Amino acid sequence: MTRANHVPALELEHVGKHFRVLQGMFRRPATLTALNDLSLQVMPGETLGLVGESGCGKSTAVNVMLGLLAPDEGRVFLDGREIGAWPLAERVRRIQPVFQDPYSSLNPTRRVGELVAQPLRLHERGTDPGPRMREMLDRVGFPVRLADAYPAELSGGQRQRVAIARALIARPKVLICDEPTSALDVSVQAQVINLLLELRAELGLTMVFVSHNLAVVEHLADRVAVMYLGEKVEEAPVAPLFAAPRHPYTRALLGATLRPEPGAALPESGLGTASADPLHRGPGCAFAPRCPMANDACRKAPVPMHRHGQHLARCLCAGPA
Amino acid sequence: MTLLDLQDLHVAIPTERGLLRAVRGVDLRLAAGETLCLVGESGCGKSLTAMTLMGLGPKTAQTRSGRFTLLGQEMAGRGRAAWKTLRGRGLSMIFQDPMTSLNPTLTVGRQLTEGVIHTEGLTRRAAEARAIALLERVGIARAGQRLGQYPHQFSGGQRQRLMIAMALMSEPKFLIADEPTTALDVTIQAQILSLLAGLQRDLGLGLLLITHDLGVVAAIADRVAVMYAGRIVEEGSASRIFRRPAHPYTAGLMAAIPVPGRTPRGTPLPAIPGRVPGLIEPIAGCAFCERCARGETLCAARPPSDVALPDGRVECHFPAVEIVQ
Repeated sequence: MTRANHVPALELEHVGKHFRVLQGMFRRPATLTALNDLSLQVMPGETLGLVGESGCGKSTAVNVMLGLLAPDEGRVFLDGREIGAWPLAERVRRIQPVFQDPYSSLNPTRRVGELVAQPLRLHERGTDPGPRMREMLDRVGFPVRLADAYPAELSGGQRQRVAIARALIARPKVLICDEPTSALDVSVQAQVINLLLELRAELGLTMVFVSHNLAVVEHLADRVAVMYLGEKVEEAPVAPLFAAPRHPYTRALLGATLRPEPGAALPESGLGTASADPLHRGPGCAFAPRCPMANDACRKAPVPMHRHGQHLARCLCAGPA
Repeated sequence: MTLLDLQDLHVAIPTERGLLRAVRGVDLRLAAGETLCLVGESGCGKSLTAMTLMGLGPKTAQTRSGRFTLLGQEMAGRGRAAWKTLRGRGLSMIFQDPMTSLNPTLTVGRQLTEGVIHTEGLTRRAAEARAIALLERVGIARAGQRLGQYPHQFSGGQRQRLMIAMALMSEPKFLIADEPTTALDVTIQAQILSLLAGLQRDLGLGLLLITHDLGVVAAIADRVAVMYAGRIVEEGSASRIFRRPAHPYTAGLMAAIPVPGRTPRGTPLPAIPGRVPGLIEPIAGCAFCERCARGETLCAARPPSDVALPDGRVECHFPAVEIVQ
């Protein structure tokens, strides 16, 4: 193995991100911790699944990975070099996003062909992007004869194919997929997942796959990180994570997932009805207010990550499943 | 008691490009105490069917049907005014997104009580007592104090509970829920579905639940109706439909979802090729035929007729044979 293989394609090192939130005219703004001490490593060719519910910081993490948001704490490395140190054209050649909603991530006034060729204009001025654009559209299964169409004329699945073609045209190494199939119907979701699987194998892509759909993540990811209120609470290779989750939140999340099988009873999550509130978090474990196992020690002080076999879990009570 | 007996519902909506035949002959029956899930992908006409049942379809819609008995009243050919007496008196609905259905400028108490004060002539006090009992029932603590609060002071899951409480204020017999948990996180979704199932059982409601999520269907349905391109292509018991789907579209939907243990990790999923047909041009044969592995010349030419199943029906020239026999 060469040394290059030991350098993560993407690395987040103790990243923190905080936002000031206004709470009406007369109250002092509060601080919302969107990311807290988030460390992630994605090795070349690996797919990392990032799961969690709304407000867990998935999207902030994506924006930090793409260099669209600067972290308040910690550092982000792309191919071993701090992300801000890459010139823009170099950065977009290495890392590209595919977002959830192709309705809002594609400029409605541009034709498909222009949208797909756009990333090439940054660093390949002067050459005709037409052939590459058509080749890419063909590769993602989008009918090339529709290259002159506007996004509004396309179906959801077609738009997501256009978004994928645009993300891949500059041949990036890292693809950040933020809920890429969540807005799609089941039958189209399967088409897009299959396309991502093919492209990943063919181009050797490194992927971060963000989703709240655990079944999709389990199908695609090599390793999974579970987030809750801005923190990574558990991380493990995909098989042990789903087979024997260690963190009570991961267990609750897996337990609450409805399986499309007959006679599947309604699951009991074992969580209270309180929702995750990022503005009012105590000094201790962020999950403690909803956790069935929480004790005084959990609420007092921040809980560090512990290794349990193949799992990393941020929990004082994490035992074997 | 039969709450709904609907035959051959057609709804067409005029658009710039022509008449969109969104619902093309739908039959639905629902008895008290029963949960029927109407399943389908976007644009299949499931929400439009629900809105038509509520008398809330688009004003420009052209609607016709055969028999249309709702809570014992014949509704075929009757205007929107006829529904006003049913809504709030036996017929109620929960919508997908509480933030667009709750008024942000009115207190929760006002929104919960307004309807029954108007339709049943209850005093404010009696109406509030009913609201408090229902809020406690749906799991909102300190209900009495919370009546004076506004929707934004409730979390997403709590707002969905508010919606359920609001739908139950009029003590309905027939409840329609359109994607009631789609906007919620999974840990909250399970709680809301348990709540709905419990209420349905305790109050003996007829529940028509519209969803695209087969996990929700498996958890809650007695019967399932699968809708494609404006028609119900298969209907039957939930246990049979998941084990042995008769229609190729139903089978395709089931297969396309990754299920841990069934689909080996990282392998291609059996996707349904192609996309749904447009509904402006008339469809001569089976609407699914272009995407169907079993499709033959006959399918494109002639609409499939109904095939009776022990627990329902399927509309296909070549249904999965072992179920039919």
